[in-house]
Order: sequence, then C-alpha cells, then structure tokens
Amino acid sequence: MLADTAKPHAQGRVPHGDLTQRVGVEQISARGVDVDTLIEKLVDAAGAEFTTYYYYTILRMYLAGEEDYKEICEDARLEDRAHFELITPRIYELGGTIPYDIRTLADRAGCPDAYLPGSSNGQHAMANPRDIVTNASAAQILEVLLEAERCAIRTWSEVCDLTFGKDPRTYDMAMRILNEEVEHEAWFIELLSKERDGVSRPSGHFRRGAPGDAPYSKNHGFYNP
Amino acid sequence: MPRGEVSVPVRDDEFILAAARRQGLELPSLCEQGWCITCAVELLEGEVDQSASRRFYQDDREAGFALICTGMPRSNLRLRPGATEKMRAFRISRRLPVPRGTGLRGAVRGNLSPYASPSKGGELERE
Repeated sequence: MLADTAKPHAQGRVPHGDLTQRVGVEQISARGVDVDTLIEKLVDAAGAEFTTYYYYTILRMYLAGEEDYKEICEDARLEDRAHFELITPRIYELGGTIPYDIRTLADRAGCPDAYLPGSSNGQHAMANPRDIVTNASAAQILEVLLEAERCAIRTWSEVCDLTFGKDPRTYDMAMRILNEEVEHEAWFIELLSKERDGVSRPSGHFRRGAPGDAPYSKNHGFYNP
Repeated sequence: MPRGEVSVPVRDDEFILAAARRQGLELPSLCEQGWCITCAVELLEGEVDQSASRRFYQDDREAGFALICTGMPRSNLRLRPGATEKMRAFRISRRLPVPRGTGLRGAVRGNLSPYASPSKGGELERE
C-alpha cells in the first residue's frame, strides 16, 4: 500500500543506479505506449520537419517578387526547423537515435518531399549552377506548401492521439508543434485562396514578432493582446 | 476498417480512397499523396493507376501492393486493406525508401485505433 511507504516513488522497477533503463520510458510504457513504435514515428516526423525546412528554403526563394508570400513562407520554414529541434532530443530521451545518414532520414520522412513545381520532382537537370527553374507560379508553390502542412497536421494529430494521457512530455511537444502546423495551413489557405481563386478565406494570421518566432514550439509568448 | 467483403463503386477518374469514403468506409491514410504507405493495400485482382502517387515503385507493383489514396482503377479490383506493415517489410527487404512508423497499429496496447484489424478484402467495381 502506498500509505505504508514513506516515499513511494523513491523506488520502482528500475534498480537503483541502473543506467540501461529509463524510468521516463518505463512509466509511459506502463501506461500503454509502445515506445519502440513511438520512436519510429517521431523519427519519421523529424525527417519530415527537416526535409520540409530544406524544401521550403527553395520554395521561398522561388516566390520571387512576392514579398508578402516570402515572409509567411519564411515563418513556416523556420518554425518547421524549430519543430525538428524540439522533437529530436525527445527521440534520444526515449532511447532512440536519428539516422546516421541524412539520406536515410530523408527517405524515412513521413511526408512527401515538397519539390518546387517545374523541377521534375526534384530531378531538374542542373547542367550549370545557374540552371534555375523559371516557370513555377506563386499559386503552384502555395499549393505545395499547403499540402505539406496538411500532412504535418495529420502526422502530429496522430502522435497526439497516441500520447494523450499516457506520455505527457511527448504529448506536450506534439501538441505545440500541431498548434503551429494548424496555423501554417490556415495561412496558406488564405494566400492560395486569394492568389488562385480570388476568394477571401481569412486565416486569423497576425505577424510573428520576427520570422520563425515559433510561439508554441520555442516557448516565446504569443500574440494575445 | 470494414469487416468481411464490401463492394465499392469507383469512377475511373477517382482515387479509390475517396470512393471508399464516399461510401462511408474509413480506411487508414496519412499523407494522402502516395508517399507514407499508411493506405497500402494488397491488390488481389485488377490493375491500379498509381501515376498520381508521389513514391511508388515498380517493385511495389510487381509485389502486388497499391496505394489507394492516389490510386485509380483501371479494371475491376479486389483489394485487402491494412497492408502497411507488409509493404514496409517489403520495401525494407528491397532497400527502398519507406517511413518506419506510419500506420497506427501497434503503437498503443489495447489498441484504440479505429483501424484495428484488416478486413478479409473488398471488391471494388468500376463505375
């Protein structure tokens, strides 16, 4: 009985001094989380965030001349990088690792590569360093950005489902990331709706303090007048 | 996930997953772009056009898999949903790129997932 023990949480299944096990893992496993599967999902998700950061760098560049779209794309880009930074340490806390080869990480990404339209799914021949794609429209790029965010929402919603009530730490991280992905989707819906369809679908977007401020995933205060 | 055999009419220009949803069937999916293999099925009979899938290999086709989120029918079909783990194991055996964690099954003990068990297979008829 707990009442019979002066400090009931001072000991448990993990022997004192044992470094091969983690109470932080044992506790969530006892609450029903298959930790190995969770690690795999988080690695896939981290891969998706990292590749998104890379591909959004390209997409942002090719929103040439569209300063407003560029700035919002930049916010999403840096926030998705912050998502990678937030979740990767958790992978290690759970006893896992990210792949040792960046190509493996990219291959494992749970969401498709956000290729620049007109780049032949990333295979555009680069005969020389100035061989750039010239026919990617803002609407096409915004649609790629939008669908990338939608995949991220589904991914992090799944992680939230798996960890809610069982793994508070991963849930907290996943919930923070999901918050920002939902915002990102709303932004790109608003922009694409106006750009492609001439229809207003407001996102409720207010400017971030500085690009990539990531109010949920970087613990900064968020806009709340 | 449906139990037993279910018949779903699918238009030639429609993704199979979308047709299933139209019929009220909830099948697993995630990326909805033919990439993550969450929607993988075993193709028991027929032919599927996967040209809209972001990552689908000839090896996958030859092994009898299909991705229904972006697959369109080119004949009458018989499919068995819930093939994510099989397709993943196949891709790994062929050293082909594949996520390792997509698909809900096994992530939570006492599975609360709506995608808990595969059906015996569903006929799909072209419209």
